[in-house]
Formats: sequence, C-alpha cells, structure tokens
Amino acid sequence: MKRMLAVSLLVVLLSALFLSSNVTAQDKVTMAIVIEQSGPGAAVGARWIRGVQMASEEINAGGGILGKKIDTFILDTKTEAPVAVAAVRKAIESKPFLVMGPIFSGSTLACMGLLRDAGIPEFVGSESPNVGKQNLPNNPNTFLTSLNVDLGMQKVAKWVTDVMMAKKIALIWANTELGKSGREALKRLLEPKGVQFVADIATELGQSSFTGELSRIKASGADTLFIYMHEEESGKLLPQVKEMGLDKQMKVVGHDTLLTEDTLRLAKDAANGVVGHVGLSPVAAPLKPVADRYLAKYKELPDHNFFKTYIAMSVIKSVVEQNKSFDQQKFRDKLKNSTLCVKDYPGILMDVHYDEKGDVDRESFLIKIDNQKQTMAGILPPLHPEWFTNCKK
Amino acid sequence: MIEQLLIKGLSIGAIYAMIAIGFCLLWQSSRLVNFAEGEFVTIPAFLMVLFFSVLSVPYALAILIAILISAFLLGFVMKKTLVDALMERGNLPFVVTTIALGFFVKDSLTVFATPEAMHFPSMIPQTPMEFAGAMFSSLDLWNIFVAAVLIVGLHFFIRKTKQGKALQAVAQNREAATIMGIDTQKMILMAFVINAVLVAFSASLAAPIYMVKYDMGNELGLKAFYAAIIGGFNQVRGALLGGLLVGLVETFTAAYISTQYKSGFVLLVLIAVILFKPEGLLGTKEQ
Repeated sequence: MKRMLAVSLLVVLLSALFLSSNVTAQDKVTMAIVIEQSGPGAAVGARWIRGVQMASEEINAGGGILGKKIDTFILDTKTEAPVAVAAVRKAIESKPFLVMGPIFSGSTLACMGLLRDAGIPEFVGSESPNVGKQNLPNNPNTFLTSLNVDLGMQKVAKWVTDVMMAKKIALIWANTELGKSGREALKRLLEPKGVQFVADIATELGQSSFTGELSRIKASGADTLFIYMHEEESGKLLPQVKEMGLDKQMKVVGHDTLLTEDTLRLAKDAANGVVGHVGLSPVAAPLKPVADRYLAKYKELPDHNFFKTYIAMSVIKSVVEQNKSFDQQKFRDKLKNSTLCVKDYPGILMDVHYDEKGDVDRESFLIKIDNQKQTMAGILPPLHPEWFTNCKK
Repeated sequence: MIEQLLIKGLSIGAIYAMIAIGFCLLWQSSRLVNFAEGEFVTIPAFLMVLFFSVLSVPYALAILIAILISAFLLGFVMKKTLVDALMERGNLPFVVTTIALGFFVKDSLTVFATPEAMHFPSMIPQTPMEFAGAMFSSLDLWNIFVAAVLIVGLHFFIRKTKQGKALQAVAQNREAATIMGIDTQKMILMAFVINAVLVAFSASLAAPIYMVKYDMGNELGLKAFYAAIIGGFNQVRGALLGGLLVGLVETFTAAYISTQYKSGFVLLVLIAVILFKPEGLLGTKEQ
C-alpha cells in the first residue's frame, strides 16, 4: 500500500513538473543573443545586450509579444569568427525564435549560413554590405539593424564633398570586414568626384600606437582626415591625432564608430571638434526619451549599438503581431520589402524600411562633438524617400 | 618626419625597455622566464584605475598605492608561492605555469572587473610640442625621461650598492654566491620586487596610450620579450637597447612600409639576432 502510494505520488510530481515546464515554454518566446562579450568588441557587445534586455523588459511589462514573454540567453563570440560559429551552433540547439547578433561583420558572415539552414532569422549589428549580398535573393534571413556601410557612405560621400569641401583625403581604416567595406565604398563614391586619397592606411584591431601611420598622414598634405575604425581603436587614435597637431592641420571626420559614446569615453577632450555621420544618436529627437531612460538606468548615454537592437526588438514585435504567429518563414516574408511607420508602431522610434536583401533605410544624422558630447549638426533624409510616403500621411 | 618618428619610437621603446629589463632581472637571478610579464603590467594598470577613477584617490597616491600593491603581490607573493614551488624544477614548468597565470589574470579581469577599455590620464598634460618641424607630445618626452631615470637608478643600484653587487654575484654563479654567504633567496625576492615596481611604472606610462584593458599586456609583454632576446637576456643594458630598437623598428616600419608588417619586421630583427648573435646584441655567452 505504502509502495503504491509512493509510486502514485512520484507520478503526480513528475506530471506536475512536466506540465509546469510545458506551460512555461508555451508562455515565452526564446531569443538567443550571440554577441561580443569579450575581446576587442566587448564594449559594443555590452551595449547590444542592454538594448535587447531593456526592450525585452519594456515589451514584457506591456504583455509581451502575442501574450508571450521574451526570454533571452547570451553566448559570447569573444570577437572571433570561429568562436561565433561555435556559439551559433550552440544557440541553434536551443531552437530560439531568432538570434540577436553578432556585431562584427566577420563573425556575422561566418555564421549567417548556419542560421539560414536552421531556418532561424537573425538581426545583426554588422554594417558590411556583404551581409545583404550573402542573403538568398529576395529571401533574406539575416536582417541589419542600421544602414549598411555602402548605403551609409552614399550619404557620407555627398556630405564630404558638398559640405566639408574635401579635396584631399587621408583615410585611416580598420583592417576588418567593416573597415574594408567602408574604404571600398568611400573610394568608389569619392574618386569619380575628383577627390584624391593622398593617404590610405590600414590599421589592426587592438592596435594602440599609431605614430607611424599618423606621421605619414601628416606628411600627406591632406585637407581631411577620414577615420573609419572600431570604437576602441578610434578612442586610442584621437588623442594621438591631437598630440601630433593633425586636428589643427586638417578636418577630422568619420562615420558612426568615431562618434559613439564608447569612443568619447576613451578619447575624452581629444574628440572635441570631430564631425561625422551616424545612423542613430542619443541626441536625435525621436531617440532622446529612450536615451534618457537608459541614462537613468545605466548612468551613461547609450551608443548606436544599443539603439540598433532596442529598435530591432520593437520591429520584431510589430512583425509578429502583424502575422499573428511566430512562424519564422512568415516573419521573413513579412519583413522584407516592408516599411514600418512610427505612427503605426511607436516602439520603433523612427520610420524604417527593410529591402529585399534585409538592408535598412531610414533617416540619419550629422553629429559634431562638442565638450565631449554629441551635438546635432543636421538630419539626412533616407536614400529612398519614396518608401516612406505612407508614413507621412 | 624622421626626427618625429625617432622621438615617438624612443618613447614607446622606453616602455618596452622597462618591461624587458624585468625579464632580464628575473632570468639573471633565478634562471626563470615569466610569461605573465604582460599581465604583470595589466594588474597595476587596473589598480590605478580602481584607486583613481573608482575610489577617487588623488592621482599620485593612486599610482603609489598601485606600485606598492604590485610590489607585494607580483614581487613578494609571487616569489613565496610559484617561484619557491617551481624554481628547482627548472624553467619549463615555470614557463607553463606563468602562461596559465596570464590567462587566469585576463579571464578574471574580464569577469570580475570589465572587458571594456578604460581611460587613464597621463602623469603630465599631453601637450603637442614642435621642434625643428617634428611634432610630438610632452608625454613622449616624459616616457623617455621616466624610463631613463629608473634605468639609470637601477644601473647605479646594481653597480654601486652592496645589495646590487650581491644580485650580480647571484646572476653570475648562484652556487658560488651561496658559498660566499650571499642569501640567494633574498636576492631572487629582490629581483621579483624590482621587476614588479618596473612593470607598475611602465603601466602608468603605457595606460594613457594603450588604455587600460584586460588584454593590454599581450602586446607589451610580447614586444618586451622580443626586446630582451634582441638586446641580450643576461644584460640589463641589452634589454634597454632591445626595447628602444623594437620601438624604433615598429614605428619606422609603420611609417615607411605598412602597419601590417610592423610586427613582422621586429621578428625579422629577432630572427637575425638569433641566427648571427644568439646571446643578443649586448648579451654575453652563457655556459
């Protein structure tokens, strides 16, 4: 009798355990964050994670997505493509609804095929145009979270020639997927306009001393120094630019990474006077309320990597709710060639268009660094304003 | 441009030289090579940020506390634990252990401190200076000056004081020094403490350029190791020459050839030295 009672009790307990786990699984939607938690990309990775987490908290507080709470887990790529591949393989085993990350384009390009084969969509912080090119034609699985370098540089090129009046550019760039694609785009866009690249210098990820490189730039006779390196290296470079008096000799300009909070934190007052183009900025009016909430929570201003993923989470929510399902193929189909307007989905903060390659188009900003802070210098319209006509109605 | 590169190369080379001298001192006194030397630079740099930026201790005091803690941890504790346990087993177990220690330090800093790079100000304002058309920073001159004072002071200590001469005796022949009544263990302890102080000073010079990060010691440790081999592992003046040479070679290579080759050219010099003068440029042949 006692034995029967014990067996019955065990069955009841196991059933309860099974049911409870089943209920929990049904109540949540899992997303994997595969991101640079260590290595040279650790700083940007940390902001990315905060973006996912802060957006998840807010979405969950509002009832989740289709009534399901967002549940995330994090895997570190160590800013190395082979480690990122291993992390993505591990993420796939957990069958997440989608993957957020990585940021470094080399890691993204190494991983995107795995996720496509597994049928799991991903949102990445990468800006290499090769990501869009490697998506299947008209069936993207990897979606960018900001303008790719090629598109961003189209805006930059116009600004550099028409506003900055650059004639001789010294270009210093990171010898990574990001830097290479930026250099290629800039040269392709500016050389036909008669702009000369009088210095064209690659640097290494993690490099600290830039004396030799800056000496070459100083002797190059450039009127503009264009910096396209990652945040940490940009933060180390700017004080050395100032030390060598280059900021007095030429205009110092850049794109995105040169003007982020992470760069400013390292460069301090050496960043003052730098101008450039950024996709997302905490001083932009539509993003400021979120930036203020971030500041209150983390005691620092957010960078563009935070906004990329914070906005992407709302994009995900809006697409799933339009589909009324978590079907991953339907998700891909709905997002490609679609424009999401703030008037319909306030969480996305800025009107955004996803094209047939998973690339993004939207407004962007010209920023000047003043007193170690970003200040708004102008707003650049989307490359295809015609995609946004419905948003203005 | 050449004058400018010369000053910049010497400035960065001075930092390498200070760390390379640490390698030499440890080798001379204990016949051990510390492969965690780069992380020995990282630890005081983190301590400086902790005391100055986090605990708001005055700048000079923060550096002093970091140097004292480093001298205790990386000098005294290191000698009494790993060195005492492994010295009699030869260099290889110590090399393997310090490689592991280096990884442990980096991983610990990543997990318990931060994986992000942190700003640390220089001892003097980084003012741009111009001389005969060469642009450089006051920090470059400061780095060269601090390294020169420390190295000359160390040279004077080794050559002119009783303790220094005892250290030399241990370096030349440990058994004979023991027979002559020299406390060799005390001398080895002294070498480890001097090494810790040197790397802590070099951390204060490197931090404003390299930024304080868990892996900042990777490049510094490696370049200083090259410098010690190039100059001569058994001569302090050799390490000085090696450090300056490495700084100059990589600076001139980056300026006149390519950034991608700057480490490669240093390695070419290293290979040439190993092939044609294996004891190092100023080193002496050992039995």
